[in-house]
Amino acid sequence: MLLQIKNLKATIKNSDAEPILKGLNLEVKPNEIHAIMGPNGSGKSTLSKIIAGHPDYEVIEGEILFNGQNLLDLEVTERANAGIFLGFQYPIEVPGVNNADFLRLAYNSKQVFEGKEELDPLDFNELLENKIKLLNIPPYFIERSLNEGFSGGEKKRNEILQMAILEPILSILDEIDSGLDIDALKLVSESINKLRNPDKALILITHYQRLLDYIEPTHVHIMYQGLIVRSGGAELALELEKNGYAGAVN
Amino acid sequence: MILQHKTWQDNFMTLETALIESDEFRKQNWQSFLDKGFPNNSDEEWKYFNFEELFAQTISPVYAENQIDSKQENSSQTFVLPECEENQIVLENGQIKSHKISNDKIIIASLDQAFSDYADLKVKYLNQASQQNIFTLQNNSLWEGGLFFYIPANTVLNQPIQISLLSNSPNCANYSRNLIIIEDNCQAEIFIYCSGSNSSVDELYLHNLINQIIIGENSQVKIFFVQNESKNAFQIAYTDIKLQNNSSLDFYNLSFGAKTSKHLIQSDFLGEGINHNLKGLYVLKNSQACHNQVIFNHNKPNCSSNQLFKGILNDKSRAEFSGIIKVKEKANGTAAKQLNKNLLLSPEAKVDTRPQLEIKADDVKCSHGATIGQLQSEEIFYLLSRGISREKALEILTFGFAEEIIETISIPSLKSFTGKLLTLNL
Repeated sequence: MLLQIKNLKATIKNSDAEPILKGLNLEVKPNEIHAIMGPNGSGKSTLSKIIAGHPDYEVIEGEILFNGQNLLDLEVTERANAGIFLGFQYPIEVPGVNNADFLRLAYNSKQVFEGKEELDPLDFNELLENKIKLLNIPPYFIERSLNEGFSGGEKKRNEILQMAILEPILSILDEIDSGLDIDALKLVSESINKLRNPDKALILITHYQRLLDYIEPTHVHIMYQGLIVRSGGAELALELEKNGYAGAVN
Repeated sequence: MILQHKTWQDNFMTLETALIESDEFRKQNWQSFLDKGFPNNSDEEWKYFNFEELFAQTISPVYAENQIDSKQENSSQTFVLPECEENQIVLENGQIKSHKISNDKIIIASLDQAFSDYADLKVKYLNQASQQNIFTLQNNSLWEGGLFFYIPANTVLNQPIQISLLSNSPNCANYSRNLIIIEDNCQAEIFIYCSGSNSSVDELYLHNLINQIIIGENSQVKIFFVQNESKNAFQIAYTDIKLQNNSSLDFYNLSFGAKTSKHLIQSDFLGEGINHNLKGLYVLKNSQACHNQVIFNHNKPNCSSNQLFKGILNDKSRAEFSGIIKVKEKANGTAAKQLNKNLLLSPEAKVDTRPQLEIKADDVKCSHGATIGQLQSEEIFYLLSRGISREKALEILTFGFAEEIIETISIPSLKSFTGKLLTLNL
C-alpha cells in the first residue's frame, strides 16, 4: 500500500470551529489514479494540503501512512523528499529566482536527502532539456523567474514540469484543470499521462468530469462534508456529470 | 586616556584641538554645535534615533594615532570590484591612502589641497552643504584631508570607479568629506564602499560622513553607495546632491552594516528636465538600526524623480524611513514618486515610516506610500513542498523581495556582491 489514510480528523489550527475532515479513509496503491470530486467546501483541497503538511491545519485524530511510514511525524520538506508532490491550485510567484535554478535546487535537495550526489548546472541542464522536450514546454519557461508573470495555464504547466523533475512517488494535483482552456487542458493532461509509471500513483482533485476524459482514473471518490461518501470506478464521474453532486450523495 | 572615562557628550563638549582654532569656518561650526547641544528624541528629525545607545559608547571625538594601542598596523584591505581594479581610490579615516585612475583627465586630490589651491572652490562648495545638524557641524569642524574628485566636461567613462571609505579609528570618531563634481555631458558609474578597515574584527567607531555631489548638465550618472560598516560601528552620513539641467542620476543607497546608521540624503533639482532615481535597500538583523531621511527639493519644472526604499528586518532590528518631496510653486510638470516597502522576518523587528509630500505647484503628478508586511505562510509552504529547506526557502523569498532593487544594478559583480551581503545578513 502506498498511501493509507485512516479515520482522519482535522481542523484549522488554533480554531474552535468544527473539523473540516471528519474521519476520512482512503487507500492508494501503486499504478492507481484516484479522482477526488465534490462540491466546494467539501474538504478536498484541505485533504491535499494536510497530506503535504500545510502548517495551517491540525490533525486531531487518525493517521496517514506513506509506504508504511507515519507521514504526520515528518516536516513538509521531509514529506516532499520522501516522494510526495502537491501540485498547487494557485502556484506562488517568486521573483528573483530563475526557474531553472529553482528546479535544480529542488532536485538537488532530494538528491542530498537520498544520499546521492548533487548535479552540477551542466548535468542538470541536460536532464532539464530532456524533460522540457518530453512535455513540449517552450524554453522561455525555464529562463524566467519562478511563475512570475506566468498565465494561469503556464503556471499549471510549470507545476507539471516540477513534477517531472522531482519524479515523486505520489502526486496530488489540486484542481490542475482550473483556469485552463480546452487546449491547455489537453496539453497538461498529455504531460501528466506521459509521466505515468506503474510504481507511482496519482490523486487528482477536480470539480469536473472534463479532466477525466483525458486522464482515466482507476478510482473515483465523492467527498462531501469532510468525508468520502461514495467510491467507485470511472463510471461514477459520468454519473456525477449527469446528476450533479446533489443526486450522487443523496 | 582620561577622556575615555567621561561621557560621550563630555568628550565632545570639552574638546580642544588646534584644528578647530585653525580656521574661521571650523570655529564657527564648532560654536554652532556647542550652542545647539546634542539633540534628543523630541527633535522630529531624531525622533527614533537611539541616542542612549550611542552615548553609552566610549567614543573619542577625534582619533589620535599614538593614543590608541589597538590600532591596526597592517595596511587596510578592502573588497574591490573586479571592474574597478584599474580605477579605485582608497581613503582611510577620510584621508586618501592610494588612488589609480585610468583616465588622466579626472582630478583626484585631497580636499584640503584643492581648497588651498583654488580659493573659489572653497567659497563655492564648503558652505554649500545646506543641512545643519550636530553631526554635520562636527564634520565641518573636524574633517581632515577629504576627497576632491572631479570629472571634467564631456568625459565618458567605460569602467566604474570605486571609492573605498575605510574606517580605522577604534573607539574614536573619524570624519569623511567628499566633494564629487561631475561636469556637463559626462557618463559615469561610481561605487562608494564604506567598511571597517579590518573586516574580521567588528570594531567600535563612529564614521561621520559628508558627500557633496554635483551633477552637471546632460550628464548621466549612477552612484552606488554601499554601507557595510563594522557591526559595532555607527555611521552618520549626509549626502547633498545638486542636479543641473537635463541631468540624470540613479543613486543607490544599500545598507547592510553598522550597529546604527543614519543617512540623510538631500537632492536639489536646480534645472529642468532632470531625471533622478533613488533606490534604497536595508537588510538588518540582531539589534541593528538604520535610519534613512530623504529630502527632494523639486525647485524647477519638468523634472521626474522616483524613490523606492525596501527594507528587510530580522530579529530586533529597527528601521526608519522619513522622506519628503517638496514641489515648489513654479515646478509645474513635476512627476515624483516615493515608496517604502518593508518585510519583517521577526515579530520583534520594528519599522517607522513617514512618506510625505509638500506640493505648491498645480500641474504635478506625485504619489507616495509605504507598506509593512511579512512573508506569507503559503509562499513558504510552496517552497517547502518542493523539498527545499526552510532556511533556503526564507532566503529565496527574501531575495525575491529585494530583487526589484538588485536586478537594476548595472555593474554585474556589484549585483552579485549585493546579493551576497544580503544573504549574509539574513
